[in-house]
Amino acid sequence: MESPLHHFEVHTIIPIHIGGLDLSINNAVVAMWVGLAIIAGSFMLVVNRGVSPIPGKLQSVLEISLEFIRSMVYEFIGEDEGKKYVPFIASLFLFILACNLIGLVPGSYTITSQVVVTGAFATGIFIMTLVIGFCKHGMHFLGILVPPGVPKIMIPLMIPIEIISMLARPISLAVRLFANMTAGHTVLAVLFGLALTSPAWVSWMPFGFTIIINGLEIAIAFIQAYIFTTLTCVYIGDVIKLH
Amino acid sequence: MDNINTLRYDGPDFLLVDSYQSINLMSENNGLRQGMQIAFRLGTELTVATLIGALLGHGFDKFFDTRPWGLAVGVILGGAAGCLNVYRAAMLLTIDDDDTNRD
Repeated sequence: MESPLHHFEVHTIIPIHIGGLDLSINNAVVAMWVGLAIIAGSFMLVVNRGVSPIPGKLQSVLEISLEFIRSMVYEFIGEDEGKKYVPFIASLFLFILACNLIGLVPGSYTITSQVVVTGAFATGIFIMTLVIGFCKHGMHFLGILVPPGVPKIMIPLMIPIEIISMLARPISLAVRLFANMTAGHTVLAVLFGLALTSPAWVSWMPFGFTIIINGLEIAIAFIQAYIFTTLTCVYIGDVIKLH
Repeated sequence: MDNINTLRYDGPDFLLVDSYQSINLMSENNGLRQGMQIAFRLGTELTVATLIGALLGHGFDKFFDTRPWGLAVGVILGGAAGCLNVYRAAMLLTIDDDDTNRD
């Protein structure tokens, strides 16, 4: 019987080593490519077929998702400022969603269950918010470390607290997505393992739970992608509005 | 541009209605989504901030050789930062909730 954590292992498919760097193509990279291909392919298919005023099935789905993301960005960043961030947030949401959903296909790989992937996203977003903040407000951006209305005597205490709370943002962003995906898939693997190994008169129970939890995992795939992008919008909105 | 002018819809009618209903469904803050969002978000905020505080405190201790004061202060400040993050997240969610009730 395989370990329930077996499906998180990374296997090299095409080894590539350049100057001491391991750039090998592994199953995680392939799954990521598939995710990208599905998202880019479906958009290209709709655009190449011609965008019709009365949308077809695929166009409807894509339009709904883009409308949804746009309204989310406008809500948290504001309509004027938010416009330029819609493409980034939409790509982020659709890519994370595609990665989460691909992971649910048996035999595939859940890229978002690797903390290095979610960590890279979160670090990128964190650095991006800092750059946006400094570009927009200059050195006034450091004022984000002092919440409005704080008495002067509290400022030396508030600055370290605010620094920790800022540093916690990307880490909680990365850990939340990674932990939820890993936990969900491990539970699925354990339950399916139980269904395979237990005697027939009892194995229907873990098998039934596997099906139910698979349904829950589909919901979680959407919710996690939604939370990740919502928080990205909140963080960008925070540095733009500066309190 | 020709394609934009041709009014062509090859899918069944109910899909058109469905798509508009789904827009409404997705725009509304429905209970399950809202609840899951609160649970997933607040759960990690406090833990991660406390851990960051502890790590920074530990690093401070190693660097300045002030063991165990850096760690002790770091945990307290981290906990405070966590509470602040949870409070901010909760306030944001409360505002959302008020907006929904007003609608």
